[in-house]
Amino acid sequence: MTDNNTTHFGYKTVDAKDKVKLVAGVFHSVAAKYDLMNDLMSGGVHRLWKRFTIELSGVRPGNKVLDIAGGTGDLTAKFSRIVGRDGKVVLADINDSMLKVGRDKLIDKGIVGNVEYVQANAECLPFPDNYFDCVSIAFGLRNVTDKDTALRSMLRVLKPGGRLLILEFSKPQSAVLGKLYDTYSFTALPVLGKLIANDADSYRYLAESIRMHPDQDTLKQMMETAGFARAEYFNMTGGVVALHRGLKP
Amino acid sequence: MFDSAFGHTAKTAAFAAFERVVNTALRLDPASQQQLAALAGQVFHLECTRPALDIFLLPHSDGVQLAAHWSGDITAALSGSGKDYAELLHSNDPGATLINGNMTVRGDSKALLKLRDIAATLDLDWEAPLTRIFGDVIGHQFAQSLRFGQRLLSDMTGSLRRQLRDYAQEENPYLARRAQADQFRADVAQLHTRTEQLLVRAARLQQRLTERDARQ
Repeated sequence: MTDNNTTHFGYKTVDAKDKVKLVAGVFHSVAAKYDLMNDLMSGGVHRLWKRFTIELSGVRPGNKVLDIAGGTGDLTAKFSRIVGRDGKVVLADINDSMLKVGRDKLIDKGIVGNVEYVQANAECLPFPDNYFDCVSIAFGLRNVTDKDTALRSMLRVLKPGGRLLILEFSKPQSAVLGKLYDTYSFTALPVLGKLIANDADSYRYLAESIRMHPDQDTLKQMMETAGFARAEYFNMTGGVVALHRGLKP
Repeated sequence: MFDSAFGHTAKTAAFAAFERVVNTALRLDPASQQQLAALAGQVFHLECTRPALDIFLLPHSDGVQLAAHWSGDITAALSGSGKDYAELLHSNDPGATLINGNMTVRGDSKALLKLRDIAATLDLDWEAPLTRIFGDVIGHQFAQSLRFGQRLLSDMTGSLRRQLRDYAQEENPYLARRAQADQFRADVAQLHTRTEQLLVRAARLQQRLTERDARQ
């Protein structure tokens, strides 16, 4: 968020208070085709990124997990199996369309009993202090208006020793890969969006928002500033995506 | 470059593919699936030193999850070479092999033995997928041929192993029999003990002589 109460919405500068509505518009538009688009855009690799996130989560049976911006519930489904009957996973998303798609998908798969659904803003999470063993946010942080406030909110709801996992698009580590990635993002993605979801603008926003998102080291610094200890990141697919991890001291 | 930039993704992809193969196979043995479900919530770290391979195995009701990394708690960890794993799998007394063998065990060895038993008694029913592909008659014949081949191979391997052992123990004059080797080991151990006792006595005598010389 910038000093004069404006923020980025892709490459545009907008009033901070308007960003939530604009992002909501994007996700209302793409919710129904979200999973299909993810598979098409990433060639299915997003499943590997999420799998790696689960492997580094340290979640065990009986844990309480918060999956922020959980969308269509990919991570929630995996967490649900690990925490078992004695644990709990809360799938939170600010967008009710995404939440409904996620809830229906998980119920259809029989993932019930230890999953709860909450419509919540990451900046002001409606949970008690020191409540969760693990908080994850996958491909959601870049859409949050005030990322620093959101990180502090996540720290608050984590138990001491709990882990925050941020899976997000990041900066490719090679110039050649960066060029290829730019070309793909700004040409193929809007076309795919138009063809599949009938919405080129939302996928243009996706490409722009990725470029405006903090790079690996900046986000790590932001986590440390928010109060997380042992912040670290793992590049995946050449840095196209990075998994950041930090502990609540 | 590839390993650092793409390593995590490539490794995760390899494990995901391997997991799919394993779970597809496990679906052919519902009994093993049920036994694995009883181990749900436990995490096994299987480290193979030769060839180098590190696997985290998490049983669940639909099969297993295989991971290249795991940050959570581990129920049991097992480390050894591929040969050690094969020995454990085919051992008649897996408990003794696990404890007295070359493998390193940490954590709940009872859970590890349960996992080993599931692997050792795996009995895949190839007939079901074969009849789905080729139809009832051809599929059944094909499955019978496979079972016959499997039995033949197993019998031949067992027979070869027995013959080699008999040759090594009975026919080859350069190799000692197990009883002879055990007796030799016991003799060496006894000799070692007696030598040590003699050394102590000699040291004690030496000390007495030194003390007597000092008094005179």
